[in-house]
Amino acid sequence: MEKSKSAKFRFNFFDVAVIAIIALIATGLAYIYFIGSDGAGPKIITDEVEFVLEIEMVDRSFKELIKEGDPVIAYGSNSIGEVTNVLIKDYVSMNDTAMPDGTDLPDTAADSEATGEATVTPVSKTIEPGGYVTIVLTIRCSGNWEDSALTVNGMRIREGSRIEAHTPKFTFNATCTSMKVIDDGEEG
Amino acid sequence: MKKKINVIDVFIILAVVFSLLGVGVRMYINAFIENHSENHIITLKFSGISEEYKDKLNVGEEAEWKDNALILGEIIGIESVPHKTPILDGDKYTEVVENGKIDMTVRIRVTGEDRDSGFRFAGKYYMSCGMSITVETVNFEGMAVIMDISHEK
Repeated sequence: MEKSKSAKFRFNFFDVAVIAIIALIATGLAYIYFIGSDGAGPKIITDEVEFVLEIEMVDRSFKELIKEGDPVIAYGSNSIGEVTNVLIKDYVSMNDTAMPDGTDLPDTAADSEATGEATVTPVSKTIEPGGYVTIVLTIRCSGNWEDSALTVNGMRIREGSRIEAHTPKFTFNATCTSMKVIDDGEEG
Repeated sequence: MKKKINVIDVFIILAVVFSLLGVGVRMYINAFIENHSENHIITLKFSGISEEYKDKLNVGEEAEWKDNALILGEIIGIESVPHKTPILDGDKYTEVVENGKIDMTVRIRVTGEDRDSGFRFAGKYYMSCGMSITVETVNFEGMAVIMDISHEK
């Protein structure tokens, strides 16, 4: 019997179901392989970076909650490293100097205009009462170091960055005060 | 004569498959959360609130985490102490009681799971000490700081 030239390849219900299931499995395997369990993209270059976070004005009752070895988790449940050192110090705030009545205050605006230089309002340091402390955390992580910034698990951190994060027992807002590369990574 | 499959049939089949997968995943997640959840006691501190609100919170009331519209749990304990505020006295600070204001410590029984990253509430939100949350009950609403999270004994 001669085959019709216009005979078309026909799908039936089971063909479509099998194709859909195979497509789903392939998608799942691709996701697991390329994305992984930590939410990070494929690692091309990894650098060991150490950075310091400073948490100011912490209630003294919280000072024992962060320990070496604690993971640091930033917004979105992404790990940004592990605590390698914890330093506790008294919280010091900058306050305007309380000038007694009748004190001849310096005309800083006029001075500035005359000299062309910026002047600084006198301030004094005061140790805050109520048992506040400053916690300084040293954190080590593997990420991508480029243009003086660290990118780890989708988060970019530079000196001066404000970070909202938590350890297993403590939530905080901190400022990154310093960063350094411990080990330049290799392609892997 | 064989029935030809058309585009609409394909979409219907894919929609059914994805729906079943979604339901299955959701059921798995809910079962996982339920099996790994334990009772914890969260201690919250409301600082410097007006003394007239002292009787607005009661043991047994349900507390809601207003920011996420989730029920935290049942209030199991309430304590209040006079609020102290720092006053500059010469070159040092002294803490004095501020009239009409109190610090209220509230303990709430909450169900959640312990993870390496900390205590997780509702399968999604990490809660730990130092965190500020807005809590609402039938007669009261205020911002509190989490002071402690412990297992219920």
